[in-house]
Amino acid sequence: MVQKFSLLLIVSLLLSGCDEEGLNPNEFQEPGFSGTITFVGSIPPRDSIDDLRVVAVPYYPVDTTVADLIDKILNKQIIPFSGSLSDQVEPNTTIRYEMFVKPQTYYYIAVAQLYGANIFQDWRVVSIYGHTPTHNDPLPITIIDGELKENINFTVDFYNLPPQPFKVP
Amino acid sequence: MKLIVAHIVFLAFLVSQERMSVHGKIVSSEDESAIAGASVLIVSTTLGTSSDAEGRFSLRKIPLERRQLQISAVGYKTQVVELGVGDVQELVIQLHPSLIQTQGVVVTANKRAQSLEEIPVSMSVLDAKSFEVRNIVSLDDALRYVPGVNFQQSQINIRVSSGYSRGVGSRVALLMDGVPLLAGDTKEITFESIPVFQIDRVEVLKGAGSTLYGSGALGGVVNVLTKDAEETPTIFWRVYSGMYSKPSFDQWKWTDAYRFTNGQFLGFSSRFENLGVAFSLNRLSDDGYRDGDWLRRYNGFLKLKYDLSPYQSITYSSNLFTQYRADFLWWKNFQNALRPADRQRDITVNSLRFNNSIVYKHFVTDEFYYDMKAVHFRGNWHRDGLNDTRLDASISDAFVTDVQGNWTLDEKNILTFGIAGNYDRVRANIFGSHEGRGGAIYVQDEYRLSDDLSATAGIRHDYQEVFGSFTEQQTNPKFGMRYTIAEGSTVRLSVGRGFRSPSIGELFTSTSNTGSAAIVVPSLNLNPEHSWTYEVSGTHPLTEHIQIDLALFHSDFYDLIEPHVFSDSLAKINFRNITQAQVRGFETSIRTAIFDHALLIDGHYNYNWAVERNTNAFLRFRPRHIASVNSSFEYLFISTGVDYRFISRIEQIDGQLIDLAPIVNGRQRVDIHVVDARVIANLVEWGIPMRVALNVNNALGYNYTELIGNVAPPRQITVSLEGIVR
Repeated sequence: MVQKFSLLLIVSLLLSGCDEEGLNPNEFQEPGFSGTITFVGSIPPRDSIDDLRVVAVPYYPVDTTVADLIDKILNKQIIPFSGSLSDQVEPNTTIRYEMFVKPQTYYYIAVAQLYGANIFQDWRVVSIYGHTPTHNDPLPITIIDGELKENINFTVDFYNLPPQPFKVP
Repeated sequence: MKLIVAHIVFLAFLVSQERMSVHGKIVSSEDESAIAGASVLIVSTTLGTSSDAEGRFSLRKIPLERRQLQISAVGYKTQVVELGVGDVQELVIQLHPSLIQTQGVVVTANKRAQSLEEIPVSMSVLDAKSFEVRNIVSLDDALRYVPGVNFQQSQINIRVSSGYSRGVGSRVALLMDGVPLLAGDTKEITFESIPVFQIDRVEVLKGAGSTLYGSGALGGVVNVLTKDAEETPTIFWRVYSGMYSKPSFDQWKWTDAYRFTNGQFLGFSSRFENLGVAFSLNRLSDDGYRDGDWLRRYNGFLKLKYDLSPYQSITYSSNLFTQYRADFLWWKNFQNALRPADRQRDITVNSLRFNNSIVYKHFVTDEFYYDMKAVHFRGNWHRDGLNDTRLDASISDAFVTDVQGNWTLDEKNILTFGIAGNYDRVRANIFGSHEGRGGAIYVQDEYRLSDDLSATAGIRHDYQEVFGSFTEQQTNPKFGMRYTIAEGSTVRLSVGRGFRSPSIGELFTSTSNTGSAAIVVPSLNLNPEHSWTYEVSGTHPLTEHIQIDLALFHSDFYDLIEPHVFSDSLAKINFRNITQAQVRGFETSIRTAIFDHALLIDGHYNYNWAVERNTNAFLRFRPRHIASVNSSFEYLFISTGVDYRFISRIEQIDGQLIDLAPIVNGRQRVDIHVVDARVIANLVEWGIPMRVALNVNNALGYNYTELIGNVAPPRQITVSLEGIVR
């Protein structure tokens, strides 16, 4: 009885090891989030939408000047941003976006528009995740490793902007 | 002067005494098979030897008044034999198999030789055979088979005491033949520098051990005991060659060629009258299974033991280790897991470690003996970039002395006491030039209340100082009890305190070129870490064929030193006394021996509940579950074995450091399942003094990370040949 039990124990453990696959880069999901951006209302002239990107700020409140924010995006790489979406802006349409970020909590996720020629200055926020007519504060999201969080959706109304986090010169 | 003359006269008297010789063979009582590696000691003398592969031993110049021969071997019950009358005695000694490791002799628990069943704390022992059959080439590979032990690549955790911090500090003390072997600069353990082919056994003490071993023994002690010289001239040799399997995934493929490893070992051992000589050379070359992860390693070892008399010996040991390797710190990313991060390319590490120790041992009377130890450990390493550009470099010296006495006061009390000192000197571009020193005094009494019940109480006071940083005094008590209910059935209870002084590396590290986006700055205000460990454990034979061990443990850790990022934007890291932690858990083992001990199966399970006291968050880099099954089977001249290890997925890691380094996709980790298998043919019975072994490590080809950003070795097939020439 004892001998059978011992053999059963070792065989079970070995088989349990066989069932596992271990690390597999084919099943790897880059962490990040995705969703939609819906454009409502009128669209500004094309030359005032030089760029449009989703940015995810891992702290809140956000910096009080655009220069500080740009410094953290470009130089210190603390704030991740999506690829450019400006080519897809059409009136009353919904587009999909996807961006990959390091796993952590992001307290302020927004869509930002470059409305002028100065890439270091001419930015404004056109939509904030969680900001609605009935809810003023941005909603944080927590990204964990191996997960693409979905349904982080935005509505953009270029002529009805949300509160700006920084002083617009 | 009178004392010296008296001493010389006494020595002359001893030398002139009549002597006898003992020769014999040690066999198993079950099947008369030879027992190799058994320890044979003349009680109350420095005389001793080990049995050879055929179980034979020989001891000469034994004083006639010393008639007790103690024979011990792992897996067998210790036996004391009374010698008869006669100048030359021939003996055949039968040892009775023991299911478990309760009968071997160990020295680490109380700094003196005693049976495992007498000690009041949990301890595991790895014997030389477990190294040989698994073709172990580095000590850490062997320790992975010890219950309750896991590794973060090269950093040891005993019952999850350590966690992980790269290159600075160890919460486990490493000793070689009882003397500390920690680098002077970082106080880290370099397992690869230990000459594994010279190991007689390794004792792993679990829990705080600072009462006898001072700083560093916060979570446990690993004591490596090297072999003594053979009685007759003996040459040992081993050659091996292995091959890594190709990567499991196309994304990971970085070369079309197979990657190989090979090594050679040559050793000589003999006694020449009163002088025992053992020396060895070994070499290892490893292409590496990852891009930029090769190494070349050389090791030389010398041990000279001179018996001044049957009661006095002086032992000199020297170990030289050099290694030249690529510096693979972490992967490029998960899709390129076998390639290094770009900025690590072309970085190499050259290291030389050299330690000398001298030990004088003297049995003054039947009741009293003492030994004096002195050690020098030099570490010299440098990291170089492209075109040999020097990045980091350090030269360190650690000196340790220890004078210890053991006094059997009466039938009930054995007193162990001593003084110790240490001095460290470091010259490095990343640590600066610094010195530290320390001293300690310790005493311990083992009190035998009855044949079945004994208690141990001890205390040690340490003074440690690093010039320009801290001065610290630590007092570490311990208490233990052992009660033997019946033969093989023992209950143990222990409480002990441990501490670890911050290393010079932790205090003064200052980097700007670590291959990381973050820089490390000095941390001058660190305090020593300390811990309390409580344990209740027991051993009980369930049947004639099954033995069960159970240990319940609780440890409180205070002021654990951890890396701390104190400015995100500037990405600076220093070390701080951050963590107050609590570790609770249990460890259980079940050992079975069936088919007349032909088939041995050991199963181990270790549960750890390790949390930060303030936040109740699970501690970083600690697994919750560790389990293993080891089996071996012997039939005629063939022996086989399968080992399985399981370590649950590390729950918490240091995300901030991963992001700062950055280790891209560094959070990827899974449960660990590793199966190692072996088959060995012993050709000695066919008249060929050789063994042939086939080892398959990670036989399932399971992909896992032991350390963040580092895929562990894939399946590796190794063929080895070894032999003994007399």
